[in-house]
Amino acid sequence: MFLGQTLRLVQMYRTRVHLCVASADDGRYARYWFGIHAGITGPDVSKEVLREMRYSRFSITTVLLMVLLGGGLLYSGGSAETAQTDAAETKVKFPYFIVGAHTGAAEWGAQIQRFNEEYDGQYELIIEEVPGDQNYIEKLKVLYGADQLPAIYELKTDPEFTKRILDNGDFVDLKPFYDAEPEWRASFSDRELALSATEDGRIFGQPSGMTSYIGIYYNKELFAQAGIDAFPDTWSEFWDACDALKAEGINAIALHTTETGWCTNLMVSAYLGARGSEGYDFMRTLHPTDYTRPLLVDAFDMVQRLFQYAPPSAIGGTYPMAANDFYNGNAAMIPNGPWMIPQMRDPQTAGEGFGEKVGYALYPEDVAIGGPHVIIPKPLPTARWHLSPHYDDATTDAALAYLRFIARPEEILAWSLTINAIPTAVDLPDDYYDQLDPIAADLYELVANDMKTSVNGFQGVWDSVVMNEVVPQDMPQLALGQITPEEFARRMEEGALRFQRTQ
Amino acid sequence: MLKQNRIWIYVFLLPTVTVLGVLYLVPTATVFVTSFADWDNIGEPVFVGLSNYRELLTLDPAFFKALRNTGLNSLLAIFIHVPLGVFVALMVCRKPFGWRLARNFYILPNLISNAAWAIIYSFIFNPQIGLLNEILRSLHLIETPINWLFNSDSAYFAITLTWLFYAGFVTLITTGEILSFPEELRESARIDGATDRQIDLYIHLPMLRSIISTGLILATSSAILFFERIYFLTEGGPNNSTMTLPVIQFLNISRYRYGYANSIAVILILVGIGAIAIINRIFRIARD
Repeated sequence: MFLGQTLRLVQMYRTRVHLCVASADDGRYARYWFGIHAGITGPDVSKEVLREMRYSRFSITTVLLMVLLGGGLLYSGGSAETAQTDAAETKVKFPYFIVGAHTGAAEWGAQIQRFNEEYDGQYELIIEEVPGDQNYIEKLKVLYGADQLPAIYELKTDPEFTKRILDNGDFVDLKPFYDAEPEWRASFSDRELALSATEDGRIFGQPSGMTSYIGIYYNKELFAQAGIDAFPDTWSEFWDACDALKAEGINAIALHTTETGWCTNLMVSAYLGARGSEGYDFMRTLHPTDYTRPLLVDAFDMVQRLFQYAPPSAIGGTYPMAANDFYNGNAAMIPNGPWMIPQMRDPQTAGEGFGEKVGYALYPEDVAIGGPHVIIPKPLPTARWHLSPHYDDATTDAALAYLRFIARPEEILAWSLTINAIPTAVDLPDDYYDQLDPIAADLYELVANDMKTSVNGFQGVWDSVVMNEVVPQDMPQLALGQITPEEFARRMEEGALRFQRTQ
Repeated sequence: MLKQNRIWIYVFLLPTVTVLGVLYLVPTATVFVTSFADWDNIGEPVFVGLSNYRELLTLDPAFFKALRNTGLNSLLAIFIHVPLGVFVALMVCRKPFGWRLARNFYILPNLISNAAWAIIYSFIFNPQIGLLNEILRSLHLIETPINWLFNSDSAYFAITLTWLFYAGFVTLITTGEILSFPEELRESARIDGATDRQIDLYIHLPMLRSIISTGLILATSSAILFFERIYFLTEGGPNNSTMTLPVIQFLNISRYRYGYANSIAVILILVGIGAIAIINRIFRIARD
């Protein structure tokens, strides 16, 4: 409605300008226009000019209104990402991505509602919906560039952005609050708090209070069709399974090369995790540059081979395309985290009963990605929720109240069940694993009994040039066999060095 | 014109000039100045001399490929895109049966957003279910599907196909111009025995010089600023084979390298000014 009024005013203003120019040929109107302002009227005023004069009064009113409304627009625009405080209630508006069709949207929305109900009259959280992780991060970067960092924000896995926020000190140190309220602090493990601490001992942000592992999903029906009884234990068996699936005309694995090549590079992470301390250490190095070492060339050779078992559209494909390949039975495996499970259970997304066909396994050689054992490279602390220090006390109090609220054991349990994760410090009810989706429970059982290594995911350590430029640019050529793994490794290294030079 | 009236014209032009200055001149000046700085758009720019330009010219593997693609795109726009648009306009203005329908269909793609086009083309070029591969296979021209967008041998060709033959805007402005010519001109030519082709060649085309020049400037500047479809379809890959300067600029902005991105912007501005100057020069020579 406001926009409509503004547009109408703009239209009227345009008409006015047109009339001004049209009557500028004899200067009468212009003299009048300014005469009005100066309080001057002349004796030679014709009726026509008087009519225009009335119109000009309207025009002046219109312009003034526009200025006022424009000011209002700027005011409201400026506060869109910030907080509004009034005497009765502090409102905090911030953008977030767990909305709309996101699998966690319902529970997260309910959590916000619970908070708003509990603090009714005191605080209110208002969410600006920004669907899609990447869109959210891009929006956050734009807001940050415009000096409008939201009062509450999440950084996801973007090491460069994180480093920038850290270097500029654009976060509220949570240490004094945790020290003052041991109950609040107790929702997080010592390890999580250590990981979220800066080198000088400040707490960069609030940890999630939970952890999860990233394994590999497989379609049991397609495996059975290819005569495979169980998920392969070794890489050798893995390739045998791929051959067996291919022989049946089944694409073995859903992959993609765009964005950061998420699914494909999870396979690289897992492959390196199975290659002893060299691979494990490589995945612990922040922004590694040595991509041409034989181990990495070997890993890229694995990628090239892997694409022979992927749907053709994987080359140049996106993550949603890869996920669809798995959901519709066009591929038998996909590497991803447990947050994908609700979509597999959703008949609208994956079809009725699809979830029953899905198994969740460790990668070959009993490797998992993520989990509480991996060492995040220092000096980059990691946490989930962060607060901006650029707000008044009332807004900061509201934001702190929210962090305190979501750290309650019951809230951590509710959220961890939603995303099939495991709380790190909160006591688990006896039937917690029974409450998890059976697909996730399968993986956690394997983690507990069989897992030999849990390795870092690539997104936490590789640099942005490698992930966002070299991978989408050059992985298609590697996959198509247009370049060798050695050449791909050389380009990765070149990208990593380019990143280093510009830091 | 009276001097007094001229003053009023300046007075009324002042708001427009002010807005243009604020929205274009100041940012352009900022771009130019910060192209010599290390700047993340958050802190203060740090003067680094020609460092950004040096990096661009010597270390960035994408730059010369982007420059080459920009040049190629401009040439294709000049020699194929605009002539095709003018040709369609000339044909449409002969008003054959169904000319209105044909004109509207030809202009239709211009009404679809670039992002939507990118999605449409991602399906057309899809190696698994894509329309193009299916047609070629049904004609027995290929046996195995081609990954048009991500094979470095075909990617540039595929991206070019997404824009080269859609000259609807050129057709639109040229048709408007032709229809504004007095009908008497054509009638007298016909009385003298001129054919449609001769009317096009010796009457329409010379009179269309200005509008063709405008079409060339618009098409060339679009080619120089070509971004959306490339970003959505290939992100400049594979191996920079579809890279353009705006895509490199965007990639660096997303890494907070605003100073470096602005050095690319300066080169874009220079390339654009150069291209427009050349086109203007050619058409002025033609007029002389």
